[in-house]
Amino acid sequence: MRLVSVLGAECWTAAGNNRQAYFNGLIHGIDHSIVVGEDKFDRKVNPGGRVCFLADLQLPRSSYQNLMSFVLNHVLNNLFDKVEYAIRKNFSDSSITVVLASTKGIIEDYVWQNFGSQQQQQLHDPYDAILKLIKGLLANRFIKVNGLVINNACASSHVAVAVAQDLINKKVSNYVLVVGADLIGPFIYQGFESLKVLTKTKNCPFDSQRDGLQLGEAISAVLVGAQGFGHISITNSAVKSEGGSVTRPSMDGSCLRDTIKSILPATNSSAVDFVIAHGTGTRFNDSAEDQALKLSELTQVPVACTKWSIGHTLGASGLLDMIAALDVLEQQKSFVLGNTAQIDEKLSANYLTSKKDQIKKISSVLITSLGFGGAHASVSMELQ
Amino acid sequence: MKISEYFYSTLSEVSDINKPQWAEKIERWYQLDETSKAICEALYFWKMNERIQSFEVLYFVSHLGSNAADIDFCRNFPSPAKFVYTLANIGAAFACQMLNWSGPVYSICLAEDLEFDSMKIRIKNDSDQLLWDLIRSKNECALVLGTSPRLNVQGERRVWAIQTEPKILE
Repeated sequence: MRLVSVLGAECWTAAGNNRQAYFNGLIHGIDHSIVVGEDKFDRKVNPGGRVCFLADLQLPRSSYQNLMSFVLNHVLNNLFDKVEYAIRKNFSDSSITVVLASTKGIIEDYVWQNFGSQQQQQLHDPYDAILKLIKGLLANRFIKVNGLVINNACASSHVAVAVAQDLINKKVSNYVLVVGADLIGPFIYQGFESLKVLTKTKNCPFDSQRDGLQLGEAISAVLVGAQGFGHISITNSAVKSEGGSVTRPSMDGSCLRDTIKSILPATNSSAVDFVIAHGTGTRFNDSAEDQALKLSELTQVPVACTKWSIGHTLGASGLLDMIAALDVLEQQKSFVLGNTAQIDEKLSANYLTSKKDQIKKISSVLITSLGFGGAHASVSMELQ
Repeated sequence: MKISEYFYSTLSEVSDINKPQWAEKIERWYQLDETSKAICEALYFWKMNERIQSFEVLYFVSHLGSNAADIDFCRNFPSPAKFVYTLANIGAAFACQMLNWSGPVYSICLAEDLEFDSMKIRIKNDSDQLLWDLIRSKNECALVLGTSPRLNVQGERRVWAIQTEPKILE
């Protein structure tokens, strides 16, 4: 066990500028995606894919750094104001480490200015600007702010949480702020479109008719500290990569199974009350994840996911799933697969599709994740 | 602690005629981006020379992430084969394939130009540096594998590796 306490969490997603809006969308079955037209971005793209853009944001998309700065400011101030009020403490005598999970950061601000020139390219750093923004925002709350950037593709948040656990358990840091942040511009949208993984209908994970994922934007943050601060904990985490394929998970589910098995109490799968799966809605990923749940003897445990509501938020997606788990545990309410009508009969796990399928008591949640580059990861959270 | 470095000429051709010796280990080896090719070359060379010992955790450290691949994708917009390499952890997947290894991979992007020499100095001085603190906190046999988008004056890309053992981390 590498237990750390969750002190607070906040996010801005396509559902709205706070955590409650996000959870309400999941509970009420709201899909926040829109269909992208060819003029959505300032660069022409193939239209038709679905994206869940940040809600209630009136800023132009000419500067992704400005977007990121505005949203981060809101999210972090909300988070720390609530935490400081709840624990009756400010952090002015404490230091903190920021672990940023992001696949591409603010790549759109840099890369298009660069590629046309045949001369020596100007190197760009799409992550450091975000890390500096976060450090600046925390500078008046903490005595010292350190930072690190994790890029394990769509499993970045899980890896960032594993890093946070290590830093806290080995007393390198007292507090770690894990931030998951990714925005969608033409670079990301067209990249996924070119891979033919975007749904042209709607995102319905684990459905027999599933035909792809929808992208999403999110800025999310979870503050963790040593055991004893809060009543919900991240109890364990495991990450494992293999090089079988750079774009697919291990199809027999064995690699994800290994991460699940290493964080669950031995031979005690009943310790999990609810699974929040990665659930992209692509045929390969959903099948591999189902295989992993089967191999882990978790086919009786209720399973849902979040991407049908707020999209696949890439490096932030795992943190959004953990924030959903936090609300599931706090409010004792589960949610279902909003768009999924008919579960693929080849799949074995217990996927929730009906609102009648409410779970009576939820003490522990397993959150799984997959990422390009052969990344597989699991995190467990519990009500203490 | 074992420290290795390898210089890969960016002019090296990988083609059907000039098939690399490690080609059988990598599916679609002919599509690799330059950074991944450099990693495969380096690991092949180090394995041949028994420079890589068994390890439990891989830290894949890239300065500035996947800069070269990002620009390459934009130049060939929108090539799916190029897009895959715009994820900073992809090189780690090829490292796993080259070493026939699976396990925990931490893909870390460093903002500062933490080149090999400064990394060595930091480790030797046991300085308070977050990446080193993280590696030390795990106290496991680790392979730290690093690349940079900057080329040297010969147009070579440097790949470096540091192997740690728990006892030196005490």
